[in-house]
Amino acid sequence: MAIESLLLIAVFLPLFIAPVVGFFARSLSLNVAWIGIGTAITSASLIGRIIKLTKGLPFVISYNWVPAFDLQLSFLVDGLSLFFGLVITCIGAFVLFYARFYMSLKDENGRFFAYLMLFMFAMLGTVFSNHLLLTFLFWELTGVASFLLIGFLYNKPESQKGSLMALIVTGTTGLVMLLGILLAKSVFGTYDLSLLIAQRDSLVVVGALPTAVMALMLVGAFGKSAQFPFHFWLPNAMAAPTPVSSYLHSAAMVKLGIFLTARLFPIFSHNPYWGDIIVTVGFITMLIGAVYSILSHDLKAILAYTTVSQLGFLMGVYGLGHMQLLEHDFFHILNHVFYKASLFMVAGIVIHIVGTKDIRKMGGLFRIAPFAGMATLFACMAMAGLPGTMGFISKELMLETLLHNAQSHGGIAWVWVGTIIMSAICLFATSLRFFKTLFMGTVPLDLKDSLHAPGLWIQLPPLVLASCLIIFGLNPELLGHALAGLTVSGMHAIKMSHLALWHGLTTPFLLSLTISGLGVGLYTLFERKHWQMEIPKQLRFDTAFNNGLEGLATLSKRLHSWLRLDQSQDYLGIVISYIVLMSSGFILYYLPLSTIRFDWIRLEHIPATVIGFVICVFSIAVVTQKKWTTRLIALSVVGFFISFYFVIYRAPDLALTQMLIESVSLILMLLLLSKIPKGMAIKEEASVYTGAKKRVVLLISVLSGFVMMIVLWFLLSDPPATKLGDYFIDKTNSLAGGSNAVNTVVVDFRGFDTMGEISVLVIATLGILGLLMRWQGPTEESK
Amino acid sequence: MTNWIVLPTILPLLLGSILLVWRTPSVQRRWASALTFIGLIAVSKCLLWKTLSEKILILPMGGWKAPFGIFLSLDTLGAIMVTLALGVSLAALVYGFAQQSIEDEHPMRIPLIFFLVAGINLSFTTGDFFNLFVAFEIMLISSYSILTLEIKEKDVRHALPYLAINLIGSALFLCAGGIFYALFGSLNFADIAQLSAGYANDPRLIVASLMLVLIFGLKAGFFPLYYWMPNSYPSLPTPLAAIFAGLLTKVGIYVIIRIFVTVLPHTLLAPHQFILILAVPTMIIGILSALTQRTIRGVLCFNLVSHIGFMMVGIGILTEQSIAASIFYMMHHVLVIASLFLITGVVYRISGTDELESGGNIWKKAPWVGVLFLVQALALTGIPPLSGFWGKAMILQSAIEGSHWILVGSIVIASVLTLLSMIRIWFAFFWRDNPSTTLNLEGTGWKWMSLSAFALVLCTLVIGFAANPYIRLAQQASSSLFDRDLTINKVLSSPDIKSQSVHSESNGGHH
Amino acid sequence: MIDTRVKSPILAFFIRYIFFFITIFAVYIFLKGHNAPGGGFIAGIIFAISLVILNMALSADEMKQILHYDPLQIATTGLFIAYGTAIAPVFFGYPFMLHKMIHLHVPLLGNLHVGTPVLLDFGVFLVVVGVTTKMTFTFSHSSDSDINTLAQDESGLSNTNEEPVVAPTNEQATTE
Repeated sequence: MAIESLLLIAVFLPLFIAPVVGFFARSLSLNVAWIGIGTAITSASLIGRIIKLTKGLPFVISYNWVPAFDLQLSFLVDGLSLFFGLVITCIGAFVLFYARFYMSLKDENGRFFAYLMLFMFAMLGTVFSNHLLLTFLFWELTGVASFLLIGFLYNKPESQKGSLMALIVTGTTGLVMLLGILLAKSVFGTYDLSLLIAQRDSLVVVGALPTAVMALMLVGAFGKSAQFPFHFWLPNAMAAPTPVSSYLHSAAMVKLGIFLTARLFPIFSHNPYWGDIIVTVGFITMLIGAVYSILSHDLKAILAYTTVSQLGFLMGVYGLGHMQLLEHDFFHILNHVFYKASLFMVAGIVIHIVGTKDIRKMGGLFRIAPFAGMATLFACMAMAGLPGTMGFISKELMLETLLHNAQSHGGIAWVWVGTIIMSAICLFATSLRFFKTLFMGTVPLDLKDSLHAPGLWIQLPPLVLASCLIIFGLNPELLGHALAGLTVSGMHAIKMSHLALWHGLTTPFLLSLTISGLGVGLYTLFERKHWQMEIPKQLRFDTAFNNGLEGLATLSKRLHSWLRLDQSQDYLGIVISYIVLMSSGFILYYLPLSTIRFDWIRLEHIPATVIGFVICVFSIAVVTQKKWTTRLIALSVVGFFISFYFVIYRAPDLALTQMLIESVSLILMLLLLSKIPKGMAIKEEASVYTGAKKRVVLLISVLSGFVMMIVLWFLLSDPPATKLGDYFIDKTNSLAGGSNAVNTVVVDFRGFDTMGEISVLVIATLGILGLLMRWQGPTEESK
Repeated sequence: MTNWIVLPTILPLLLGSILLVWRTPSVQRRWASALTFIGLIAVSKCLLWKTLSEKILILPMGGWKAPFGIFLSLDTLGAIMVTLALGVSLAALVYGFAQQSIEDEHPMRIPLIFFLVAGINLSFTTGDFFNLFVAFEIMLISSYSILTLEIKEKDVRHALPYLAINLIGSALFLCAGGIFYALFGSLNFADIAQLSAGYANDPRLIVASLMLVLIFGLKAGFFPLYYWMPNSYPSLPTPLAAIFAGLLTKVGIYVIIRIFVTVLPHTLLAPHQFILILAVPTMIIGILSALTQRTIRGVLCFNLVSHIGFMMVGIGILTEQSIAASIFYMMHHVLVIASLFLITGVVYRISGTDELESGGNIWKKAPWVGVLFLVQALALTGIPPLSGFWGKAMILQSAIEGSHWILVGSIVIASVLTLLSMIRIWFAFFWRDNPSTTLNLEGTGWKWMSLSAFALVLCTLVIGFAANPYIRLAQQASSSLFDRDLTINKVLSSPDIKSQSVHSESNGGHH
Repeated sequence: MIDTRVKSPILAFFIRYIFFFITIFAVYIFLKGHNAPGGGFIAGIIFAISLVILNMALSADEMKQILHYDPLQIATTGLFIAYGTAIAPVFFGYPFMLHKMIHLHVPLLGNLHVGTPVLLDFGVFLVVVGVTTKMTFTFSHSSDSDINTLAQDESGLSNTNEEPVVAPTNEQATTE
């Protein structure tokens, strides 16, 4: 089969399997996991086949998807994506196997495994995508899938809290990344990653905009990989079922940030800020995670913080810009994937056995779960960096390069050496504690009766994964050989040449010894204090996040009521005030009042002025009079006087219409008024505006009058336009067949308007009828 | 003859009147109205297809030549909007059928929906300033009648400010129309477009155009003017609320696009800047208010308001690309908001409440309702590749290219808070075990209701996953809006059919 | 139901005759509208006013007998006439709403110019008459007690004794 179809099947298979899994969950129950495992293995073997076929050379597959937005379904097959693809599918298979025995029958397993398959698809899509927008698309999909997975036990408050936190943090940083991507398009002119990598030497990555692109995209990476200051979501995401934690939070999703950084490395590493940003963020994260891990006592939280620490380390590696170090990035990643996935699985088993998450209440489980104990031993050895494990080699390499780096650069580089030593000490102590507390010693008294041994199968995946740490730790060249084919475009061809078990009695080895010694010391110190120390409240970022959410709620509530948006009875006045204030603002700002002209005023305007004056007087009466009838009559007088204008300007039709309308409305209103009881009229009097409100209303009214006056004044300054009027009068006889132009305009020239308006009349009647005759039908049900 | 373009207006008017006479609700009456909508959708699809080749379809009312008579003109944007309006109304109508038994149906509901749709469609098809006013009147009066028709007695007075505010809007609209007439002596859009080219610096035009922003901003829900919307929409029955929320605000947006892109000169900077300035508080304050709401509908209403800001950004930037972005976003938003309202109705039906405090249990008992809601919530937030993403990404792209960083930041903040507000609903109604809420899943009514909501969801999914033709459509709509000369020429050089017909008549009389 | 009829029998007597005069005037205004001040709208209002005045003299039942149709139906008929006039030219290949004039030579009346605009105008006339009378009758025949509820809760009018045009469930109320 061609590579194209191999890849498409490998990536899309989990997506199509997801609904299948959901569908068959009813009949197959937990065994539906086997479908998932089969899928993962199929994808993994397809990816393996691709590695063989491409021999590690970069390869791009493109299909048009949304050309209107320059989006292609474009995949980049190279060492990096193939490596991550393998990790995702293989670890996925292990996790599914584990989940098969972990989940219980009463869970909604169909949904669970469907989410996992969806997640696997999203992950594969992200790592293989060659198009920045496509990366973002899958990136967000991993976020949504992880939201569903973290919140899988949805009715627990901590599930909701954790999933919300993960979604908001990764969603927000993802959006920031989208900004970076869009900006990248306008700066570099393409979304195509392989193109960007190919052009990296000619690409200008220095300057404000390229730096902004880099920083925005790194924010996305930091958010996903739980880097400082976004690290807090990961421990909270531990509310998820354990298989989810061991997949998303050790092997898969949190590695995406690392993946993206690796992808961007060849493009941006020439930017002067690249190293500074990544190293600072990464190493701070590493330290924080390590320190917090030893201060935590929740089994999964400990693992989460060690993950944060390790992620910081992996991130920081890319910032040092040291090719020698980067050659081993896959080795570091694999090391972490193996030990963290198995530790999470063990944690799930242990929590299940003892029924608590507090590590201080556990102990002596080795006899009950020997295989899990072995797995933990191996994994903790790797985490501590003891010789014979991958962790040891990883740490040696890191120390060696950092020392080298510090010797040549000096200054701040020594700080990083110090940081890594400190975190290593903490991690050493944590590893020691993890293994010793769980599996050594005696079983606490209160747990003795409730313990039950876990099944054999569930202990298998962690043991296999942990054994890898030892196998590859003792024979690193084996791994080097396996990874040899994976060339990362623009970065390096892997040569695990000088990966060796034993480098001799070098400075790093001496440092390692020191770290081990100090780690044991730290462990003893904490053991003596009975692990009473907690993470200081002020430094807990998740509480800060929650406070921020609450603060946001308070802020919005205040703003909402300050703007009086909650006052439903006032909004009419508020909106009118806004309109009037803004319009008068425009007039004062844009219309030069100095240019108001008076030359258009003539003697013949006197009658109109007199009528206007009368209208004003009666309008004031409408507002100020107390009795309803007086007001009504004043209003009618205003209407009748307006019709005089039409008389003056020789529009008898309009004058007639206006008068008739006034008569009809007067009759209608009198009819209504005759029915309103006296008591009500008095009641209305009392509610007339008072005090400050009255003054505001007055101001708004005066301003609105002012607005209309100025507008009219400016309009009258020019001679009126007569184009349409002339045409109507000219053609009324010849074309419209009537000598009354007003009527021909109404029924012919603009008859369509008339048609609309008579419809309005009928609809208005319906509205009035609806008001007068309340519908007695169902109201509760129909909402 | 392009008489077809009056059909989306005249047919609903006609059918509305027929249903006033045929006033007893019955199955046949329901079929007749649904089939009319289906037929109209087919017509509007054809019209849309035709606008793609002919750019703009025109119809001189009564055969009078421009600029003296009324012109209907339909371009791609108008045709898109007409199709959307009809589609959403059909979904809401069918939803209403599922929701209410025939005995419970208010006999005036369907006619009024028809009148409302006629007004909406007329405002999308008209090419005349005063005729637009008439369209708005039809819309206003029928929406007010609908508003008061079925609400409870105690809510009647909440409807009054709606009428009052819209009447003030109408008065200002007339006033602005007066200014335009005084300045240009014409009401025809194409004619004004030709004449106004030299007026870009005229302070009177600037003031008039700013007032237009206020008037249509009132309809669309721009920041300080949207107070009336959240207060009047929640009291409506669900299907009507879906029409109101989905369509009525978009009419305001449409008219702003129409006037500021095709009628007034682009060099008129003040109104565009004003729109951009208002866009920021519209987005931010709207979405912050959504966080304070206690009902699903309240949250949705303020989300609606907030997202109007996104479209304002596209309009304010005023490039071909940004207008296309706003158009696409509008297409997405009409469907998503309407369907969310319909889904809310389903939620209300099965859980008996839409208060966030008292909801719960739905994810366990009726997961499909949850899936519908989740998909639409994510679409509203703009998670790719759902429909909301494309519009927002296009708007962001325009904003980035114009270096409007404040707007970019506001869009990001508003999107995140949108997500937060939707997740609040999600937690309260779907992911929470609430022992005090019992779901009523009996009967098939809610299933049919969900089905018509699903029809709209399906539309948004299609727009999202197969975005290409729809983005192209929006781009084409935008580019024909920017092709002002074509419109002007086509309208102003249209033949004088009236005098031809009169002459042929008198000639015929002689022989 | 309160009685809105005028109490004075003399006035009631005169009103019936005034009605005829106003009606004739309305017809006149309508017919000459195309060439002189007047037209469907004005004539409609005048005729509606005459009906409203007549309403003062007669009881609701008598009014119903005279009018024979529900005013809302009259208005709807007006709409149909208007829409029909507008749609008709489409079937002859003309643009929507194109009006045609017919020039006739009638023996007694001389040259007569009749056109489709008159039909549209007649539609306007019917709509105005229907709408105005519908509103007036609804107002004048709604009962006192309803208004009292309005005074109490300011929330709107409740049941009326109108015939059940809008709300079929009000049928019981009609028989009061």
